[in-house]
Amino acid sequence: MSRPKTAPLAWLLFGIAFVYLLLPLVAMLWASLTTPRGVTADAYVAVFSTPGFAEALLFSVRSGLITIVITTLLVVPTAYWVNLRMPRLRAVMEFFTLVPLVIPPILLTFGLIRFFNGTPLTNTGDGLYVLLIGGYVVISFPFFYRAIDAGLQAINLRVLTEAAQSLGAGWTTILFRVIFPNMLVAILNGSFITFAIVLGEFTISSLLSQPAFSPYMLDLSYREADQATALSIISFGFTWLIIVVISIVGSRRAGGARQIISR
Amino acid sequence: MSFLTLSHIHKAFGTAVAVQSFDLGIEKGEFVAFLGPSGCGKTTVLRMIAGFEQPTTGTITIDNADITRVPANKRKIGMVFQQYALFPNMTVIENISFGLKIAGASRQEMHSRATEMLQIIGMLEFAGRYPSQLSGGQQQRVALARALAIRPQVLLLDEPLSALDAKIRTSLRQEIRSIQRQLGITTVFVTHDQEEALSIADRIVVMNKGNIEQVGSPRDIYNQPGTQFVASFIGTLNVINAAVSDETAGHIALDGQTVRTADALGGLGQRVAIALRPESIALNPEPNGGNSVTATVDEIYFLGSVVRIRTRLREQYLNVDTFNSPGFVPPARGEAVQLGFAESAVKVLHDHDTTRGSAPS
Repeated sequence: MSRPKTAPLAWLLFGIAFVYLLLPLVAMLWASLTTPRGVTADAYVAVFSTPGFAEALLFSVRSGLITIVITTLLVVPTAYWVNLRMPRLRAVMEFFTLVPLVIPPILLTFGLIRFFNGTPLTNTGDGLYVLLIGGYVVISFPFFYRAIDAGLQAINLRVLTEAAQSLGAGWTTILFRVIFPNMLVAILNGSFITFAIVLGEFTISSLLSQPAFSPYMLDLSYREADQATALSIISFGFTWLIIVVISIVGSRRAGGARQIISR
Repeated sequence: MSFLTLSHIHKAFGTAVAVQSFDLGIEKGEFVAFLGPSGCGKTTVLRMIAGFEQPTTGTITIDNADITRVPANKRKIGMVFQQYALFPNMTVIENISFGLKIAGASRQEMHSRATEMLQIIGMLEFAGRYPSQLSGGQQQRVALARALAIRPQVLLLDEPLSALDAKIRTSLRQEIRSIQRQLGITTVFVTHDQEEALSIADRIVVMNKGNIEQVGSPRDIYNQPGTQFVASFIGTLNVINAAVSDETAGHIALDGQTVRTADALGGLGQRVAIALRPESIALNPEPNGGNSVTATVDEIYFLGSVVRIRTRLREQYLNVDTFNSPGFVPPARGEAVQLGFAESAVKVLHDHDTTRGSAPS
């Protein structure tokens, strides 16, 4: 009965939030479409042919993929072992997942540089790239771990492990033939988030002077403001697309879970 | 020496003792059921045989080989779990072939063995389905086929039927037994369901609080319970307090009515507890020289094939089971009835437990 009373207020708050979030986007869109010659989509066409664009995008995409592979190989076995054998450590792991969220990337980067100062990791170009990937692994770890942990909670880990063991499987077989395939959706979830993080990451790549996508965007904005804005809109749409893909995959999994429960 | 032996098995989790001084030999091809309430240690013993738990002390041997420290994946022991433990990402035939693949079987061998298993469980047409597309009963049959495909030395079944509904449970239990006979595989079956254990096993191991209470055939366990725990856990039992009136003649009084028992009464004192199976009591029998007491009908429970009549002596209750035949007219509540039972049906319980009355079940 209280619904008709609260509804207008709720809608008002929603409207304010909506406008607040949407206005900058609209402004960006407007700015990217208007030129002294009138309304045109020129910036959107030009941005793809700007020198360095493809290289920067490819650099970040490749780094994202490498980060995903490393994170998967690190996090899945760890989360599996913690859930199976050391459930008490889950609280500790939860704490670890908070650390990268609390420590600003700028501190993380300077920490990495200071710590590895004078080693090949800071002296060579390849070393800096390794450091960059290391940084990416650290900042995407909380999101990836939580996705995997949730996925592990959803399957009957112990019974599947023991069933595989009784059929003669060793740990590697269990991990790669049983756990990984059944964690595919969780791994995919974690991968998409990681990918989005790496693509939008600015601080670490900039401080390590790596030719990543975000520093490229900033650089572009100094030279071609319209194109940089257009690129922001494009990358924003790209991120949205990834989120939509995650939610579709996620809802398909939820559907599967419902099917299992109703059986 | 038996095919599978468990010697002096002791298992503690921290300070909690789960299993103590467990000794058992199981013959090749035998079907043994571990029966007991939850927390009695039966699953722990099974998991030690499987290799998922290590005994604190004691040894386990299969075919004279000590496997106590052999890892679970090297034991060649098939196991079926209570929860559906099929690999969700694999089809039925892939699930069944999993163990063979690990053992390095050829593609052809894998296919022929998996097909043979599918035939045994009668699910050939389900080969390409995923576990989520199967019913619970079908999943457990596939789990059984998967466990048997590797030709294990021993088959372990950990309450495989308890997640299923009653009708499937009965039919699958018969199917498990017939497959087990067909393959002659040594099997250990864990259950808390006495009917399941009685109907399926060659031998039953009744467990309580980490100890073996009794080992015997289903008939022995039911008819000759060795301890009060076994007597009360298996079947329904009237446990009533009685007063010894003539120790040498075997006369005891149930709420003032004297009956005879075939059991010895010597040295038990004045008060004893006796056990009487509801089905060993006849309602209004022809006089035959056996025990006879008068009681009042208190309540009537219709259980389908059996009608359970709760009668009252003076203070204590006696349940009487009688078959439900089409012509059977149960007595009315409050009616006085004669109850007849043999001397040998009156079991004197040695570990007198006055807390357990003969409450209706």
